Amino acid sequence: MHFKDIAGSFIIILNLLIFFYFAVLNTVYLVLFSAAFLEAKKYATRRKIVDLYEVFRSPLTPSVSLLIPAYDEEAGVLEAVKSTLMLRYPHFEVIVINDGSTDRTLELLKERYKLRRITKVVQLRVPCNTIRGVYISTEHENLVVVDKENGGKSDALNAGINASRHDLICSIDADSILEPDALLKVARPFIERPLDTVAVGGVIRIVNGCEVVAGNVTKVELPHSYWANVQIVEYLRAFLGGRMGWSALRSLLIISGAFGIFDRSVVIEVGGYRRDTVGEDMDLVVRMHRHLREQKRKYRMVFVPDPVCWTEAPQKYGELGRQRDRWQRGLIESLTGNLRMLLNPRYGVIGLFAMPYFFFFEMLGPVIELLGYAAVVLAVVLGYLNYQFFFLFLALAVLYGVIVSLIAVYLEGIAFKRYPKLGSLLKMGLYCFIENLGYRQLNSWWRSKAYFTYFTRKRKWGKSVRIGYKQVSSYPPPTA
Amino acid sequence: MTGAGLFTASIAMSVTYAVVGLFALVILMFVVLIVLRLVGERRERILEGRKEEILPVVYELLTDDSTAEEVVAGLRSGIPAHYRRALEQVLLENARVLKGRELEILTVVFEQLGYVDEDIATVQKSRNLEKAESAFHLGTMRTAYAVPYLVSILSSSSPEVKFSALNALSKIGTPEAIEAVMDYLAVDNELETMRVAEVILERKQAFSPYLEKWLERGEPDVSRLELLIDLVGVMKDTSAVEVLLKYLSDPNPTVRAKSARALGSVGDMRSCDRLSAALFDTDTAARAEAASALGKLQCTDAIPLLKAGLVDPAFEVKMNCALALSRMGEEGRAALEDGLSATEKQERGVVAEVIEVQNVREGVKAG
Repeated sequence: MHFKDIAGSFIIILNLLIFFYFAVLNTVYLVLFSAAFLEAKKYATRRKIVDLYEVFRSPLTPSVSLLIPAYDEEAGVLEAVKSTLMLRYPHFEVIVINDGSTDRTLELLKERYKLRRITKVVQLRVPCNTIRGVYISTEHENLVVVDKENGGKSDALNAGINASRHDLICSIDADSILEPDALLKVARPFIERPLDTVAVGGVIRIVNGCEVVAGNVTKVELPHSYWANVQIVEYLRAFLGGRMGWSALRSLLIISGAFGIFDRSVVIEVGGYRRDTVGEDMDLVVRMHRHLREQKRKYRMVFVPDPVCWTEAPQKYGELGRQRDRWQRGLIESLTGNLRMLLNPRYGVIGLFAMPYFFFFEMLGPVIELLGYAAVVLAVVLGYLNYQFFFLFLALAVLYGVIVSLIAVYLEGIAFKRYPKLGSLLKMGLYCFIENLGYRQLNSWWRSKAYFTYFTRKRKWGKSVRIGYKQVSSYPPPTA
Repeated sequence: MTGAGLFTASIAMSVTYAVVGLFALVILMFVVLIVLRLVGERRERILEGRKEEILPVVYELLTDDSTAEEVVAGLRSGIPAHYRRALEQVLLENARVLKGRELEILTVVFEQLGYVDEDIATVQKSRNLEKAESAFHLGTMRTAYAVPYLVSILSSSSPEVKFSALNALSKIGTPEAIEAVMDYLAVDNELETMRVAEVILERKQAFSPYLEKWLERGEPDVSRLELLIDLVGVMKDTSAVEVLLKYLSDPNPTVRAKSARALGSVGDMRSCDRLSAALFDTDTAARAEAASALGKLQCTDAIPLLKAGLVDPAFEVKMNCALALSRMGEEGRAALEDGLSATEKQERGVVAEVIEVQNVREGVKAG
């Protein structure tokens, strides 16, 4: 048998496998997005009969400790703290954890909030590096700053858990802005079902292009940057489509570290955030599922599509690539660390549906996609490519992807309406096409590369260049 | 053409159809999105415009000492019939904030303009989410004759429908409505009842005697019992003290802890002695809650016991004893400062933290 024949057979088998893979993946997407669509409709009606003011004034509304880990966040930390202190919620404390910053993060906080160092007995319920000092604000009764030795984001969050006083903890990134009612909305499932709710996630939206005044997003618009726009569509798909769908199917496996609220006692039971991973948010949720399922406890984790946390998306090629690399490594670490759950009926729908999806499609997906591209190139070289099939299949794949993204834009445009201009919706619709040509392939490349960095790179804070809120009244355009 | 060739051609044809179909679907989705958005925006704009237009008329009629009949007549003559939906929304928005006489007038207005009958019909027939919305409206309208219809949907499988019905019954607040809520609470096994709690707390004076009687009778379901104790606590009704004291010696430690917390919330000094005794409870949470409650009540007689509690093996108890002492004026502060010379490191740390935080807070209040 000649090499060409072997390669030909290989290409044909690979094509069939990829076609099968594509069909299964898109069927899962269809199920997920249909569930998300129904859930969004239900949620939109529920909003009419839920009075947030009742939550606000109810003495039974649980208190929350907001944890803001900060490492070299001098550009954004003051604005983030300001926006959290302005939250509309009956009882909460804000704990900023300065993770051994090398810039003026701590000094800025000390000056702005007139911090005073106090003696504090911090019980080490979950592991964390040495706490150098605890400060409280002489201006705001509910602001605490924990200064600790550098240990990474998970370590900082663990320190925050140790220093927290309340039954619920809410993690927020130091470069994020919460909407004033976001905490009330995200805590609502805990109020409705206090006995079995253990975690709730909110929506992360991209602030680039929006107008920010005094820690509040006052005008929602799309940015000019290509990179930011493709990410906006991607976030809509991931949150309004994916997470809402997973939540409806009782299989939510990710609650974003940028905005999630957890039952503190369960987080402590599972040992807090894992300190040797860059995907601490997903890892925590997966371990909580595992622990609660193993203990046969009744629990629920919920995604709420309305409370919004705004965050700045990277606008440069290199930063975006590093972010995706980090996210993929986090995914690999979370899944490989809990492999026993995969296809294991003991873990119910999580083991039989959510874990296999994330393992075969999210974790291995980018590599399989790149293999597909490689097979096309090989087929061209060897003269095996049926151009008619190739272009038809390409069109099918792109159109299917566009439809999935459009459903998310639909949900945004009809149910949530954060972008008031019709032009913004049309532009997002356009980006549903554009993202398939270039960005999607790049994303697969970055995520595939993560396998190499997974074995070679050490865990550290994933940092992006922040413009900082204070200097700008309107988000980007990028400076370079 | 060979068999394989035909097979390939048929697959190619199917994929081509799929591509064309998907492309058409994409275009259709775009068009529908734009149309829905435009139509939705236009509807909203018209509705808001109408609401703005009729608001002064409604406001004037409701504030000029008119009777309900006069208000109805004024609305019928002053507002075009096709503004009906806008008028309903304006009236509902007003009903949420008005009280007393104005609210009573509005209740009659809703009935006479036919909105109540419309919502009752929706509650009986329509889909769950529409039922929930209409039930919510009936509560806002405070329509007493809607009670049987609202009770009938309490058996719905939809949590939204149940919650809206409970909310409405609580707002209506007639004895039969309150009893219906209590009956529901007694049999509901899902305990999605923080929502019910919110409903109850809306009208705590009406519910309080029922809850106390229930606690006196006893409740075998522990989750429900804990919720009842929480509710009675936050209602701050001093008549509940005796029954809460009974639960302070319940065999279940969580019930004891909840009772201690509730007694702290109620704020009656009669519970000081029993709460002091609870500082010797075998359960950590019960001791910690008892200390906290003693602090809230400022039971100064308990200062020696709270001081002794600073060496409790459990951190939570130590902390709550220190916090309680910090709330008890000069005497408590002196007892707390004694703790600074304690031999145990954790005790010294807890005392120092509470004193330093108190100093800062007092600085905040002063400045």
